[in-house]
Amino acid sequence: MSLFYKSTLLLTALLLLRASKFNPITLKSCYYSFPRLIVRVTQMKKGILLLFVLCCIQHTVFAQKDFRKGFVVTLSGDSVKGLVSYSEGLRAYQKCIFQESGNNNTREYMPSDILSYGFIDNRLFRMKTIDVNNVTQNAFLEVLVEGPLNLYRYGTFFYVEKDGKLQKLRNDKKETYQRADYLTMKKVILDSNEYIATLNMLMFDCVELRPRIQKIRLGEAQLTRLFERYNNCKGKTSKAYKDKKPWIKSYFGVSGGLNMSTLHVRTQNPELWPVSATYRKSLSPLIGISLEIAAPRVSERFSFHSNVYFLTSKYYHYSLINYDSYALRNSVTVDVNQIKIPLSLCYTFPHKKITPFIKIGASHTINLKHKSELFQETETGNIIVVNKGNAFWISSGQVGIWGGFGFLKSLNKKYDSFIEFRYEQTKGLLATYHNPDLRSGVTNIQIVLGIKMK
Amino acid sequence: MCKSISIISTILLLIVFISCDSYEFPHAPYPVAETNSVSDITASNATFKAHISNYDNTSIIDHGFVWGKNPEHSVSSGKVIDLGIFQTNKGNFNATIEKTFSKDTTYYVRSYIKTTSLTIYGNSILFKGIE
Repeated sequence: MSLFYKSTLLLTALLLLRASKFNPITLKSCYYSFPRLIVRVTQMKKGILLLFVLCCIQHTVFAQKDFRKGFVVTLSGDSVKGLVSYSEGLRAYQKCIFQESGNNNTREYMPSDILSYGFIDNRLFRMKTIDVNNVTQNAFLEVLVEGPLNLYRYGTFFYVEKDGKLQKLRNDKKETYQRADYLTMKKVILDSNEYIATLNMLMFDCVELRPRIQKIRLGEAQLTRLFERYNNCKGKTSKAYKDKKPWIKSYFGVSGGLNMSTLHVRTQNPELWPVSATYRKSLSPLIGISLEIAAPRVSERFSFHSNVYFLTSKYYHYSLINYDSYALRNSVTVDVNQIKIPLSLCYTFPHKKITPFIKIGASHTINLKHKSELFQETETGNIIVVNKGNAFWISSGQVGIWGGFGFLKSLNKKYDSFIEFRYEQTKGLLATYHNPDLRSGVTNIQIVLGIKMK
Repeated sequence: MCKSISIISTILLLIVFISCDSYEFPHAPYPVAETNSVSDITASNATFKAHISNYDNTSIIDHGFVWGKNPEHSVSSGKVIDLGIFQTNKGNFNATIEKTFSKDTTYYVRSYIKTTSLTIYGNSILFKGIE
């Protein structure tokens, strides 16, 4: 077992012991049922945050770089095979970290040290001299398409090369003023669209592409397709180095887990105090399906995620309010069946045996069948009167924000399993139109387990 | 693969099991009456149903229903169906009243119970006469 797993297990055990109020001297813990223990762990937000931060630090410290099979081409034109560190950030354009086959020594190449570097069936970078912020410098440009007309990328910038001459595809923003009405002018930002003129000039000899050039956007997918078409139009071979990666790929999955939900209801109106409280935490299973949409050719790290979950939440609150001449015993029950649709942007760390990922996004919750009941006993002297009725109106839906982290583990060539921890905050459960004096919020902590396609 | 799926399924089943965390409100230090429903409403009769929760098994020396056109009728102001001592001290009870109800008039009924020291009224339920 690696140090990483051992440390994570140790930290989790420490957290659970702390949650159960374990006394290391008496070797006894306060009694908590398992569900209540889970609730108590989730109440220790600092503990969970600490666990996550420590796990991340451990992973960063102990994890190695994402080395993949590749090569470098030296200044003398020799190709050397080995492992190359894969990066999707700006680092890929500035340096190449290389490990020669059969040799554990790692070397760092700057753009002036080698001609090019690349990955097998994946990205290729070639050293070129470009202007970055008006400074001429050598950099590794990613070769997107190679043929009579070459297309390169440097961060968000694109370059085109024809007959050895490199040109930047420019789309500078220009501030200008336009007349809003007879008296005032408004500031507008216009695109220069210079790149369209550049492409028109470079591709003038392929008439069929002209209408397409007029509408093209300065993005990797559209430009790659255009350059491939141009090179084919010229009857020459065209090579797109990432063509084994799909532009768009979707993955389905199934998941289930536990939802721990807390309802907070607040009011300034004393008549509504019986329903105003932080309700008892609701524990309920959730089950659902997930959809992940990725653009591996643009980024292997970022993807878009969506889920549909079904869950039921039950909240309870009991209060005893003593007034001068009477006492109120209030029992509030809220029962909601929900469909939750979280949408998120996911960042997946470099693939390892256990791969961490983080997510952030928004969610929409549809409240299907719902009921809220206030059972109130009023005790005045030796008379007790029971009243039963609707506690408040529940809305048809809620919106919220959420974030989470988790870990992926490969099951086989087709499927991954995952575990995910989520924290969500939604804007209320109560219909504000019918309950103008009540404010509510729901906090959810979810543990989700599942299987998804690779 | 099969092993991993069975592990995930077991964990999910465990999650379902631990999430069955039922809750009961604190019990009141007296028996509580709850008026459940009014059924079998005809031109000349109606059946009232109620339930008594009694965790301390306090003796119920009297129980029944009070009804009328006012939702807050008491045993002294409303029409009373007196069913006497409730032997089991908890559970369901009902009563059928034979009376001509005015058409479209709203009536209210609520259960009541008496212990040696307290009178407890259940929640009020409304119904409408159909003749």
